[in-house]
Amino acid sequence: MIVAGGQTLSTTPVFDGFVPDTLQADILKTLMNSSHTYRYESLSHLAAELKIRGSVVTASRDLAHSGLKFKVFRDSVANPDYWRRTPEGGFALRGDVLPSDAVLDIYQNGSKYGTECATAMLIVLYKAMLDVMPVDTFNRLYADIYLMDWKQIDRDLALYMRDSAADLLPGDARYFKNPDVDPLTPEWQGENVYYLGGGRYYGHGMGIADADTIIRNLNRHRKSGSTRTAYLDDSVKRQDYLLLSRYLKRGGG
Amino acid sequence: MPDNRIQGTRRTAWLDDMRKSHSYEEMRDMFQRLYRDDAIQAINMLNDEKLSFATLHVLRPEIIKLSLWGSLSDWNRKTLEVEKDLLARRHPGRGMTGDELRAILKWMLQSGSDEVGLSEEYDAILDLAALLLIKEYRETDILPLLVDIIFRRHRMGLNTHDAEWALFESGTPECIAMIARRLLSQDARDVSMARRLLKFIPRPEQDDAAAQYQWVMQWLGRNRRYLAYTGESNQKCSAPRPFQVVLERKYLQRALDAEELLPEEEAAVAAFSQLPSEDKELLSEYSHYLRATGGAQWRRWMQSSLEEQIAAARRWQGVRYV
Repeated sequence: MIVAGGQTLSTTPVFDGFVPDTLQADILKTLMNSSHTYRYESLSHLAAELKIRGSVVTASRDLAHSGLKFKVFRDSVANPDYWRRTPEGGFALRGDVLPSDAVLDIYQNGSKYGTECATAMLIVLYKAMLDVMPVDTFNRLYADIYLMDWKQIDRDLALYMRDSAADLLPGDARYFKNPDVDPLTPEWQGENVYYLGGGRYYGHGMGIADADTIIRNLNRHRKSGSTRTAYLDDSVKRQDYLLLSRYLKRGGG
Repeated sequence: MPDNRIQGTRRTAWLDDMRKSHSYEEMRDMFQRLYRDDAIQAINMLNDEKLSFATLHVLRPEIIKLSLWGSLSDWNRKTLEVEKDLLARRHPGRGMTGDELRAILKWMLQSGSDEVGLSEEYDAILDLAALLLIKEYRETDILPLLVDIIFRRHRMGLNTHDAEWALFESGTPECIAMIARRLLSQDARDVSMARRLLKFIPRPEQDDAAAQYQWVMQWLGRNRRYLAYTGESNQKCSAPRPFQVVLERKYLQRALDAEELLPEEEAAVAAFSQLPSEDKELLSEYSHYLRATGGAQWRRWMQSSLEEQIAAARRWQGVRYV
């Protein structure tokens, strides 16, 4: 169920200047049919969530086809024209380039980059924000990008994690845990993914696949004699769409 | 093969001294010259029982170049085989007993940990050795050393991702105390790292690192017996909670490793589990307090109804936080 601006939505809302595409319409349907009550300050708050979720899905699909390689942090590589590779294996934005250009370069020259799945999750988020925000706003908000694992999250990505969620929605960041991972392949201790809808996920190093395939692949990296399978854990990462709504481009899908 | 490399009276190996006082290239050149001048002495120095893993690692290219494999001691040869397997992400130890492999891995870490940042490859080898020791051999002696490696690498801006994971994968709450001690460091980088790793421990807002240390140690004292390892790391999220207090066990004052619960305890847990999380935290904390101050009072409280337990705990909370 959706409650927006204090009103329960019983029919598909008409947004001012925004027409949801097929994916966004599916998300809307899931929200409306859910037994959970999703509360929004306004219709524009709801529209922001739909736009951002759609953008995350598109950015995920595009990154999957960008040529970005899978590399452990110690072997990570980045295009030095835009990024400085730090000694710990992260990518720090160079001071003389625009954040928007640097993020775009990862998508345009993916084969010049290689990193682990957690970093890829951040790359997707930045690209998703770039696609829904005016470029100037993006460059002002994300002037100091650092891509590593999750440990340094830009506050302006407004990302939070909860232990569980009522519904699985496209654009949700999820985590497949591999509790019996082989100690010699710690990079397969789990797989960060975005849910794309239709039972498909994007995880860097796995590509676009369903849950069973991801679990099967993780299980190949278990220690010998393991009886515990990898699994999709309940936690979910989402963004504060209300906070982000004030930065979005007006109109459009 | 004797495992005496890390025991006994220490004197440093000559080649170790050379490594510490020269660049690695200079040291390799020096070894080559030494070998040309006096091959037997060079090999004796290489096989010195006091030689550290770091030096053996640095000299590996020369060992290959000079075809010294056959002259290496059994220990050094096996160590380099283990190193090669680790780099290839193969399980090491073919042709060795489990104890031999364990001793070699431990020696690699113990004698090799004085070098931080020798190369990314070298740090990766130490991380994998630590992971095998912790996850396959449940070795906890190395944890203080691992903490030291993590903090020294952090000071140099080097990768600590897998080493942090290895530390917490030990599943032992003692690593919390090891990290907390770094809050007392004079180096601000140590303090910030300790704060990041201990972020999962709820604490009042405070900038004073010494006060935070006290808080963490008191929290650990109250919760140590009920801490369960969750497996969370920075690979999953920005603020991992590697350990969580199992409130049901704390409420019952039954350690996680205690025997199975009695039927009446199971019933108490079933009722407790229905409570909102704030009440669960309050009751478990109060239960711990009562048990610590007097067993008889705790038993009376545990036998009272859940409503009475909550009322008593709230009165205590009111007094405690005035």
